[in-house]
Amino acid sequence: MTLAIKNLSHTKGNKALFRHIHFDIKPGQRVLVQGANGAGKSTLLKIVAGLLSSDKGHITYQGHPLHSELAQYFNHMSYLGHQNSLKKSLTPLENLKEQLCLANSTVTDFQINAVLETLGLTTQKHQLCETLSAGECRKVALAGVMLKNKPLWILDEPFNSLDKDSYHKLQAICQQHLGHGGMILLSCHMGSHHYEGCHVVQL
Amino acid sequence: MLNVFYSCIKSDLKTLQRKRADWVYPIVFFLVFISLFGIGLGFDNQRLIAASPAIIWITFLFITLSTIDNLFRREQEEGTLSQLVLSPYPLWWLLLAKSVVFWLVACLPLILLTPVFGIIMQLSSQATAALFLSLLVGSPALALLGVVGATLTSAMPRSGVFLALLLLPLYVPILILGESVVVELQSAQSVHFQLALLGAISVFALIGAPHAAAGALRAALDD
Repeated sequence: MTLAIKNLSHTKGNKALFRHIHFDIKPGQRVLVQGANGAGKSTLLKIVAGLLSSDKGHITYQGHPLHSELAQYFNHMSYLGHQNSLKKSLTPLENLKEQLCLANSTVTDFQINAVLETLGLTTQKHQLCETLSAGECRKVALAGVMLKNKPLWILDEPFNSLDKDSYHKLQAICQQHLGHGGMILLSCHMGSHHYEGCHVVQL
Repeated sequence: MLNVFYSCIKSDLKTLQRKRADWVYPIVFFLVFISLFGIGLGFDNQRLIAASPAIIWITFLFITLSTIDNLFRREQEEGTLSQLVLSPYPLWWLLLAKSVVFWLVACLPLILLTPVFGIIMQLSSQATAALFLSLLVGSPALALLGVVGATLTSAMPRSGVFLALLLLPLYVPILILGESVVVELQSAQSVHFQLALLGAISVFALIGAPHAAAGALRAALDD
C-alpha cells in the first residue's frame, strides 16, 4: 500500500507550477506540501487525488498507475479540497450520510454521532449547514473524511478557520490514523512545528 | 448500486424541498408567460389556438433548460460535483440519478399543468391530451440533454446563453416531433409514428447522455 509520485511536472498557461516532484507515501507516513501562495499546492493535491491529469510524470498506487484503476483508488482515498463540499440546505447529519453512501462506506449512526461529539458538533447536527460558521462547516467536512475510513487522506489546508482546541483534537486524530497504518498527504502554511519528522515537499 | 442511486435522489429532493424558490418560480413563470401570449393575441383568436402547441412547447424548452442550469450551478458552487467524481461508483450512474431528479423537478410539474394551459388557451380536450402525451414522452430527452449541456459548460462562469446556443439546435427535432403530435391529432390522424420516434429519442438519450455527461464533467473539472 504505497503511493508513489515520480517526476511530476505541471504547467498552468505558460507558467510552470512545479517540476520533477518525487515522493512516496507509505503506511503510517505523513507528507506535508509547502510553498508560497500560487506555488501549486492545491493543483498538486488535485493531481494526486485523480481530479486533474498532470502534464508529465507518473503516479502509482500499490504499484498500479492511477488512471488504470481509478474506481479502486477512490475506494482507498478520501480528498478534502478548499471547498467543504457540503450542501447548504441539508444538515450536517444528512450531508455526512449522503457522502458516506457515495464513498461506499458503511457507517452506523452511532459512529457518526461519536465523531460529531468528539468534534463538539452535537448541538449543530440538526441545523442546516447554511446557518453554521465557517469553522463548524470545516469540522463537518473533516468528520466526513474520518468516517469514510479510507487508508489515504488527501487534505488541502485542512485546518483553515478552526479554533485552537479543534486544531489540537484533529492533530491527535491524524496521529491516530497514522498509528493505524494510514497515510496522509496535506498542504499547510502555518504551524509547521507540529510536523517535525514528517517528509516535507517544498514547491 | 441501487442504494447509492436512491440515496442521491433522496438527498437532492430533500434539498429542493427546502429550496422551493428553485422550482416554484419557473412554474409560476410558465403560467404567466403563456397567459401573456393569450392576453397579447386575444384569447378567442383562432391564430392563438393554432399557435398554442408551439408556444407551450417552446416555453417548456426554455424553462427546463434554465431550471436545470440553475440547479446545476448551485451544485457546482457548493463543490458537491467533485464528490460525485471522487466516488468509487460509476459517474454516469450518479449523473443518471441527478437527471431523474432534474426531470422530476424541472419537467414533471409543468407536464402536470398542461390541462390548465389547455383551458387557458381554449384547446380541445383531444389537443390537450396530445400535448400532455408528447411532453411526457419527449421531456426525458430534454432533461438528459440538459444535463449533458450543463456539465459541458460547468467550467464556465455565467454560461446561460452559451448553454442555450449549444442545446437549442439539439432540441429542434424533439420540438418538431412534439408539436406534430398535437397537429396530427387535431386533424384526426394517427400519431403512433411521432410518439414512437419521440420515445426512441428519449430512450437513446437515456442510454447515451449519462455517459456523455460523465465524460464532460471529468473534462470540465480537469481544466
